Amino acid sequence: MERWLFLIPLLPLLAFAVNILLGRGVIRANAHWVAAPAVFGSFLLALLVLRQLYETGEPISQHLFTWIPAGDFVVDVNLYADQLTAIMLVVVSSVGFLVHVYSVGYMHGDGGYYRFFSYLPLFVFSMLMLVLADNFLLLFVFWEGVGLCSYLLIGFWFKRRSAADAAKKAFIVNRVGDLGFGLGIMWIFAVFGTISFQEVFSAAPEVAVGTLTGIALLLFLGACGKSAQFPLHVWLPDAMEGPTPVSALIHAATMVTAGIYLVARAQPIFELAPTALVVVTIVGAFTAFMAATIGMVQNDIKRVVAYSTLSQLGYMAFALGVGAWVGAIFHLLTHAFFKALLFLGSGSVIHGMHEEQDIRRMGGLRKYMPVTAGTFLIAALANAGVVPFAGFWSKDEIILSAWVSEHQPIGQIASVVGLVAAFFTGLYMFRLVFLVFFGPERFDNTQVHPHESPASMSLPLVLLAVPSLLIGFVGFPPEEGPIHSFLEPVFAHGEEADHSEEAPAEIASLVFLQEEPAGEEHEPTGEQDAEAGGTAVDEGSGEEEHHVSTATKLTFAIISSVVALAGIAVAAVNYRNVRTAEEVVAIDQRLTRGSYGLLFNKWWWDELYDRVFVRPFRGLSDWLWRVVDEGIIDAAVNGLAAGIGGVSQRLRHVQTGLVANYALAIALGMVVMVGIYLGFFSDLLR
Amino acid sequence: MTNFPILSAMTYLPLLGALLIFFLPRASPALPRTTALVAAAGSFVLSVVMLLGLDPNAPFQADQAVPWQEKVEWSSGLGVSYFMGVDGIAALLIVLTTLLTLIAMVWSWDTVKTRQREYYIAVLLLETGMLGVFMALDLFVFYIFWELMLIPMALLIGIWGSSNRVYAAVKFFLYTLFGSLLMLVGIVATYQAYYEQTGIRTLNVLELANGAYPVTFQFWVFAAFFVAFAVKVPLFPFHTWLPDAHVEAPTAASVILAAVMLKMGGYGLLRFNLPLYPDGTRAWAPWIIGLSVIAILYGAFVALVQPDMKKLIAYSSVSHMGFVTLGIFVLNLQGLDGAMMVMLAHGFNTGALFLLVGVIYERAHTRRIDAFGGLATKMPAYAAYFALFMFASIGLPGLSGFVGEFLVALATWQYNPLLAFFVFAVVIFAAWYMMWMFQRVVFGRAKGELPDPHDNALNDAERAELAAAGGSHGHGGHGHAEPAFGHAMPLPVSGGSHDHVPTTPTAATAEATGHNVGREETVPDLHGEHDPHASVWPDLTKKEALTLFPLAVLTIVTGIFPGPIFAIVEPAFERILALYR
Repeated sequence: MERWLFLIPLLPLLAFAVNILLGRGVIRANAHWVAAPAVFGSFLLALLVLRQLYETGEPISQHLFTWIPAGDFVVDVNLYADQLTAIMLVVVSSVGFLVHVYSVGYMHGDGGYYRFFSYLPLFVFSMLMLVLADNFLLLFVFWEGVGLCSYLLIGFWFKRRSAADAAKKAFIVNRVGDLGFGLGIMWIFAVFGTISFQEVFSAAPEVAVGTLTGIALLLFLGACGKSAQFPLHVWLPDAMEGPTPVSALIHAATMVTAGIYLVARAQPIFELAPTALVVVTIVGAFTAFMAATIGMVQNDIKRVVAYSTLSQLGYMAFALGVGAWVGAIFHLLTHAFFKALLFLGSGSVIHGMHEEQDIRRMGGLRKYMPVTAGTFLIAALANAGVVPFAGFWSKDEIILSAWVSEHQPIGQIASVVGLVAAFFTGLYMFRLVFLVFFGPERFDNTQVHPHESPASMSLPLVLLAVPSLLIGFVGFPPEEGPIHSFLEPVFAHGEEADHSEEAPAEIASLVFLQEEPAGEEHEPTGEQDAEAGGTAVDEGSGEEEHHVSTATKLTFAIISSVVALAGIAVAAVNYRNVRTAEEVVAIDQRLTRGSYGLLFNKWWWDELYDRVFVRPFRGLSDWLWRVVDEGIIDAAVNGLAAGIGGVSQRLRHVQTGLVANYALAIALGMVVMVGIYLGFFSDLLR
Repeated sequence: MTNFPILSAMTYLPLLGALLIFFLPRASPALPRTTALVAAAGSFVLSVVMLLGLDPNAPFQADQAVPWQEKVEWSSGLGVSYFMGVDGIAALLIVLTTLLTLIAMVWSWDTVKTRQREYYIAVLLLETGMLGVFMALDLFVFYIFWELMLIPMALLIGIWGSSNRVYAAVKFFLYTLFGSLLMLVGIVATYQAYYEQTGIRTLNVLELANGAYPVTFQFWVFAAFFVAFAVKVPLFPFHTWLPDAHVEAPTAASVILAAVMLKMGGYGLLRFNLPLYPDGTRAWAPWIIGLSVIAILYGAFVALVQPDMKKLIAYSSVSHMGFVTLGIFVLNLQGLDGAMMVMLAHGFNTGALFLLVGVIYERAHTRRIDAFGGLATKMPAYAAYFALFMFASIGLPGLSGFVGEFLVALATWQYNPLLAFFVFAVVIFAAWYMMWMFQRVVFGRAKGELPDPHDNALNDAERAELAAAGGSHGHGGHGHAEPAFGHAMPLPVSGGSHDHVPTTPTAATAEATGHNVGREETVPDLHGEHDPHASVWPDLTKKEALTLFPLAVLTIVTGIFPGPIFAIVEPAFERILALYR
């Protein structure tokens, strides 16, 4: 695979190029024949990469060309695939392919069909490159690249102001995160003199904890933007303005996990910066909780699923924070399948209901669309975390890892918050299921005739239902499953780093290194520490299970199952049989009591940001323009000019518009100037 | 090859063209523009030959004629010589100049209808002046070219500009003249100082660089030169001529002004201030860095609230060009590389953005952002170009804008991390102002077009409009009027094979027969009322596409492969930086 690694991203890139250039004139409604096979090709190649890594365990890399050679700042375009990348490649290309197939039906007849099948492979390309990048800046390039695709696809139906607004909001909020990410890269370069992952990670133990903490926090700000973590979560719900397949692929399964991927990739840095990890944990747990509460009262089918995505991303983030690296990636993996399925199922519902998205005007749809209902139910069970569906294994592992992690008391707090959020998850997920597929029909069935979607849409649903049901078993038995042993080499990095005598010489000479000697408590310093240090570093993979007894695991499995089932039970009791749209709201209000307003309005974050950032910045801009620019600077200039008014008055007469006059003026002017010069400044004529 | 005076040929070919136009009979209207086009194309070809043959590692040689260097003694007593030469920095900017002038000529082909002869003469003279500025290695020659280019530009604004053109032209002229006069003082002072030191009279820049000037002297002379170049850049607070000049100038002049003339400020600093006055540079650097950071943020903020497209782009130029001065004065290689890259990228992207404004100005005769909307529907190719250059301008990696701005920010981090934070924060605001404009001009619905019933941000007026139109949009599936359907007609696009029934509240009330009638009646009416031109705006013409296409290619290629650019300029930068180590 070493020589052919570049083909994985190249295939979708070519599909993009062909469709964007020829789509409107030549290919038109056949655009999917270009895009889907290309992504399928990437999927097959990704499987080969996965197999090779499974067999050899040796990362694969390939040098393509040097992008920026600016003095000692050299950025190469190198591809690098280790076990983590391999998993991401498979997730992106498989879900990507299924979404392409689904879109054939969903986007059928849309005027922008070719455009859609240009942007979609462009996204797949960018996302594949993002996970293949072997240095921070290259990752950043495609980080922005997926942001571009997100912008184009959220704003796909650009005639709608709401869609254009949402696209712009997504891009700008992400840019706030990118500011952090970009500064983090600059800091990394200033400290390490390189931005290559391998070189930075091997030198990281030599660097002061304070510096690493700063870098880690900046990187995490970037991750907050992309993975929609509080306080930069506000763009994701609005992003649902995009076509539903886009929501499934970009805003659920893949792009939004890029932030999680970034933190996991930079694990050697985060592992050495405990304060940063605490922040990651708090932000993740808070997001998981907040989003789950909001999800309970939303009425737009896609928004409910979107808040569920936010919440699940929160789980992944706090898993990273407590050192459950494998757990986070495991949840990323399972979530990609079941959340894509939830979105595609929602799309199928919307399609079958003629563009209706309000769950208050649905109900009883399971008899009209059995395939959608069945697969949606599987995904909902997986999302709620019910045994043995995929989401259970990964979520349970996260909650358990948080409880037993060495980052206490924050870990246990996060664990409890996670359990509370899990209850809400069961509740909102099955509120959705019951309101959409069960109970009486709350729509006018003389006007609306729900129908099952065509095969191109239902087949991907079935294909996604399989992993939603089964993929959890790659993590079975808990903490010792195939995924744990597979990913172990990636996250064991911290252990080896310390033995690197060959740490680049220039690193050692850097000034700040003297601030703090390497590794006081978080850094294994020698052979004798290796065991203890290794345990700390290898959370959830290597030796962690030694002090998590089977009893504890079982207890937690039972607790989280009970909690999820309790949520489902509450939903069943309340929403099983709702007759009118008003009744839905009444039940919501009864369940949430006084907090309904807060939750329905999404905790007022949008309004707060509007007051605190958007409007003041616009006001400042307006003031700068009218007062400073035109009122002060320009007024001063014009005043000066008016003072010499005669000059400008004369200049106006000079402008006769005849070039001959000007030529004469130029010539005269030169003569005068030379004359002045010779007369006053030169000795030549004296 | 070495004997052919390629630099002079390139510089005076446009002048020759101008003379030809001047003396040729007025009879044929096509003659001026053909002549101008040929001259500009010839100059461009020569510049490419020059760039390909350039050895960026060969330093300038003060006394002799080496390849890509021409020297003729005029008056050895005065120390004035006709001395032209290029290094990597100049070579790239020269190619940028000839390319953008050529594009401006193509653009002007059918858009300039009044005083064509004079127009082309002015543009050609301008090109000669600009090329001379980038080549002159003798301060006397430099000053002549510097002034030479000022006048045609002022004329282009003042004669072929829009309503408030004379004010803008005079303002441009006075601002620049003010700077030039200070520079003249600086030139003379340096000349005298060198003479007093060595007894040699010379205006040869390479020789003057050998002088050891007192620190106080450097401080003041640096300032004199700096003001001239800061006006050109333009650096805050010397920038207020720019918005007026851009708004009033004809499209081609805006393109040249933004893409080339602003670069002369950056070029002048690199060619004169840094090599001649190292102590002055060190003394002033913190202040200039401060002003640059202010300019970067200030330009972005003010751009945010502009109602006029050209003004918005003009203020965005202030912001982008702040990166140039910043990159130069942090005095490290990444900063200089970045500054160079920003200059080139700004040339491509802002040049193209002005062309894009010109495209719709030709059709609508207004530049007000709120006069437009939904252009993507009617002009898909235009929208695609606009999107490309918007993203290039806001620094999307992979396009030209990113490389330079990131390098400058990186260089700034090495100077002061906090400043880097402020500088890099502009990525947020750049996205904000550009996307805000893009959304209002390109996205949304066209004038006279009905709102999309699936729009979740409809206001009451729009709902009423929809209802009045008879609710005819079951908007099948996702059938949204797509570019190809064109022409602002709110046709209910049926969702392909699926039988869709109207579901929105307003739509649901209409009967199938009723809405057809309603559509027929209301739509042409809305059309006529809102914008008579809306239905006749064609997409990009071949000529317009021809002007944008090379810039699109360049912005992509230099974004992905900036390496050769650094290879060309780095030797020159290394020589400059050697003074500061």
